Amino acid sequence: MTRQQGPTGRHALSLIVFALAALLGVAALGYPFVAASLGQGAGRAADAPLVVAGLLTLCVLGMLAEAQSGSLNARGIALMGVLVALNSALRLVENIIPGPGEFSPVFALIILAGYVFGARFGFLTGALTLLVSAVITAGIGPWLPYQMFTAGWVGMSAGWLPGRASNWPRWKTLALLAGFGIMWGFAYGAILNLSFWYVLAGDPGTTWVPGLGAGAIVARYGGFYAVTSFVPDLFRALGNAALLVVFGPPTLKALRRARRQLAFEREAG
Amino acid sequence: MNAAVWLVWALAGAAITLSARHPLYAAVMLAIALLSRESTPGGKRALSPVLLVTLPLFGAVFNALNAHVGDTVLFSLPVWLPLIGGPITAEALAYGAVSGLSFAVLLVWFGVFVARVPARELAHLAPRSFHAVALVVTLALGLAPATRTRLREIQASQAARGHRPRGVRDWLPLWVPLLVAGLEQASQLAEAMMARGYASATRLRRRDLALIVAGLIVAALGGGAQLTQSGFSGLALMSLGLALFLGGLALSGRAVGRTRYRDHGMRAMDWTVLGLILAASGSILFGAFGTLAWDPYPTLLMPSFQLGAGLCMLVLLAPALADAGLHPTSSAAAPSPRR
Repeated sequence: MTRQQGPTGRHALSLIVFALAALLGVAALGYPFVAASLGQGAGRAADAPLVVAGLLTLCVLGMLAEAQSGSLNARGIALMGVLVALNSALRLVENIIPGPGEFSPVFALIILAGYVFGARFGFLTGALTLLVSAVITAGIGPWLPYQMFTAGWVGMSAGWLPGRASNWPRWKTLALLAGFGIMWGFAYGAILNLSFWYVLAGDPGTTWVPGLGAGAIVARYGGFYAVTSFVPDLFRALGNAALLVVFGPPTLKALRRARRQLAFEREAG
Repeated sequence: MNAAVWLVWALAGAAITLSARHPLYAAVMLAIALLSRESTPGGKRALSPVLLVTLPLFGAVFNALNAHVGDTVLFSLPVWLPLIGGPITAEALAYGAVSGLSFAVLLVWFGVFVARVPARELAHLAPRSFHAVALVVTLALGLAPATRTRLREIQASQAARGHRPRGVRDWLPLWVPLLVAGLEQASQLAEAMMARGYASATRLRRRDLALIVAGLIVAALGGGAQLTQSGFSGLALMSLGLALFLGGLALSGRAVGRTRYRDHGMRAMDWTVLGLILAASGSILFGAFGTLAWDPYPTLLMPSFQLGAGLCMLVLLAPALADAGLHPTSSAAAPSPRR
């Protein structure tokens, strides 16, 4: 659960599952960039969206299976259930009263949960928040694995941030978290765009200029992103930062207290 | 219908819509979704017709500006324009519109699925190997409405103290009690769970993990093969990988003992409908009617329509028909608890 438990108590194999699923997911997401550079013919499989979505779903399932294994005891389940419920309620509020642009209040808590309770807990909090809130807000669809994968990554990478031992000065922690929130505010949008990119743009071999290098495709996508998504995503990025700065300190305090109270000690065996 | 049947129905519909990016088949799929929605007794959500117009429009414009391929050049944008410069073709417009339509059909399709299956039954669908995750989801689904109620209570009591939220910072007196109360509840819940004997986390065994890893690797190789040369070997490898992966999960699930309260298992009717859906969608997806995808490049032609494939798609009406025919009042008598 926490760093005390750490990867030492696990098989090397479970790290491989996690790393492999993560890598595979990134490769599946990055496929359009590679496929287009392979030229016409190469990327012409009409079922590319299906294959990629299927692989990504496998990755999410594999990571979920690995992350829950050994880390979710009764305390972990109860705590995560409550956090996911809180966050889903926030997403519901956001659905009723939409914020500006792509602003969403859910990422701040995902980041803080990952930061306090570690990478695996963060991954599960992120992925399950998106799952539960999709069920509540009737937002289930083929995009769900992408959302779960990306939000899971938000929480997981938050678990890798330095300074969790709370001996950092407050301003340093807050600056780190705010910068992290801004980074993911943009990255989340850029990754999720790829999920409907397939459906809208179809086969990269035919819709993009064939034979473009991967670098040129990235540049094109960057241009597309800057035109269509930069401004809405700016609200998410700044919103993340604002929430983390304003709500971060008391939330961190409460979560750290819960960590001590629920005593996430290393389990025997 | 059992929730599992509806899940397979939704996935089959999504797979067919995505792989047959084709105006006529998309129209058939849309009609099926609308008909299935029509007979939904409780959760009739208003389908936004705006979506069905704007998505194809957006897709057409997006694709025409992106893809400068095709014989029928309508007009040209100056080449020095970044990204969008080049010839604008009818083929690209048509392809984009059909892509947008497919996307809209997907939205409608999953809207029907969500309206048909109550959230509680969705959580029951989780396989045994995801026991812990399913427990978290069930807990969260149950706690989310309570969380909203608590937020309202906190709001009321803070308002009684003269609290008026204006800026972001003013939400702190609402958020902190909400969070602290939630964490308090978590610790009580954990104690209750442990008192009932739910204590330790189950751990994936080495063998199951190895199967999962092998499945991922084989499926990834198959996916790579499928994407680069599109042959049977890719499909076979992906199926093998999937089988290994699911086998590992199933084995790991056997370590979890679990009982259910009020288990509505699969009845004969459910199995029949499931079989019909699998047979119909399988024959479409695995090429009994050739490739259904419509390719407007390089020259725009009228899309061809295979009656057999269309009839196979109509089989997807089965769950809605079975629901309407077998239990005409069951859903009305027991309204779904979803909020």
